[in-house]
Amino acid sequence: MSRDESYSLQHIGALETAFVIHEPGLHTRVEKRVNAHVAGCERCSAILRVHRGQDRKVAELLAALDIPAPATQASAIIARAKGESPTRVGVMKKGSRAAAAVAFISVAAVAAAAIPASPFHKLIMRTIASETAEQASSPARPRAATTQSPPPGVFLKPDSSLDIVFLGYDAGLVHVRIVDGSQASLTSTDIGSKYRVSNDRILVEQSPHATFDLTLPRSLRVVHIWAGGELTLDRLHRSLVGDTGSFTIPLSRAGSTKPSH
Amino acid sequence: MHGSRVSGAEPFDALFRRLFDEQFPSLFRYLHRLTGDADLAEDIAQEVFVKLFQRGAMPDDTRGWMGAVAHNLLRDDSRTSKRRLRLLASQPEELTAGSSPEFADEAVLSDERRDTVRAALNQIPERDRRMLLLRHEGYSYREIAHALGITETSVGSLLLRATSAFQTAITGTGL
Repeated sequence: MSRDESYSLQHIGALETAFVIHEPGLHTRVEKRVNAHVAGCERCSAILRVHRGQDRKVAELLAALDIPAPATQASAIIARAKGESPTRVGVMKKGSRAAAAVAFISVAAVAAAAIPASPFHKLIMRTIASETAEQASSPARPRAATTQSPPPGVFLKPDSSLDIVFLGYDAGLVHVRIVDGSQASLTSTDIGSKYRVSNDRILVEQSPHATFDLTLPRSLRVVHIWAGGELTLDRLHRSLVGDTGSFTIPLSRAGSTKPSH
Repeated sequence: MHGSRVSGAEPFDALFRRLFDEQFPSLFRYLHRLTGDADLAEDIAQEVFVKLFQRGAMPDDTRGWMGAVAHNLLRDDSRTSKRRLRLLASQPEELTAGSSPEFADEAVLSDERRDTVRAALNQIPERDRRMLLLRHEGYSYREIAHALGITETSVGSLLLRATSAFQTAITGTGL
């Protein structure tokens, strides 16, 4: 048995495994040795497979952190390096954290109002909106998320209840449609609107006069729409089952209890 | 230099532009993964390339050099710890209507996944974290050694340790 053949019979070690996985092609001698050994050793072959799988898993996990890189141009960096542009190129404007804090406080107030035992909640429940669904037979539009140019907004599949909270409410409208299927969506052509979502809640910071399209699955058991801290729409249990059409809710205090049709 | 061929005949300006297009996204991604701060990552990545251009010539190990400069800039940036602390305490980013629509349940899962990975990364020592992230940015052992100021022969074993530490930190999180 030659020296090389003897070497290739040795089981692979952790460092060799790491070389082969981390730097394929760069350590050819090690790689040849490992490949020769793995070809005839099921144990080491399995070890290598496990390590490769773990390596891929780590790569996938790290990718969860990623965001798109800024579209910085080399020419801008060169200009800056030459002193022609003294400041950082294309400074990103981060979302206003102060505004987020205000929004968070507003949400907290609304959330407090949603606690059934609270006096605030009872007060609000007295203003439950009366609404009547307008019977209509217009076909449902295709699911926005699958079209080529969907309107900006959010899409979700709520379990059985959904709260939609509008944090700005000077004016504006929500066109509500009751649809088959399990998907809810809230979209608007107003690009200034911001959304925060969870499985059962959509929080919206909208600019004044924004108009929204809201689709609600008929299967929803509970739907609440809040505007300016007031309950604008309250649907319980199976009250959506018979709805087939659409109606409009104004996003203002004056209209908070009287959805129009 | 990994991923970029240096031609002696190519003017530095053209070489720089090509390198920038190839490597800026990678450097930004690495720094963003490392710090969790997009603003800071962009700052540092830009500064690295400014310094490279001002240098007037490509280093032998360009990516290793860029990594080392980036780490020096990070160390010198007194804002780093404050900003990271602020980010950890901050609310998740809002979804802006101008961006692509997103299924809410998927968005929530994505946020949870990101937070879990970030928390696991923060549990491992800084050098291990840098090593792991550089490796997953495609840096060679030589480039990692240069970027971190360690010997090339120690990279393999340190990398195994870093990977193991990260896997331990992520174990039990459901990911």
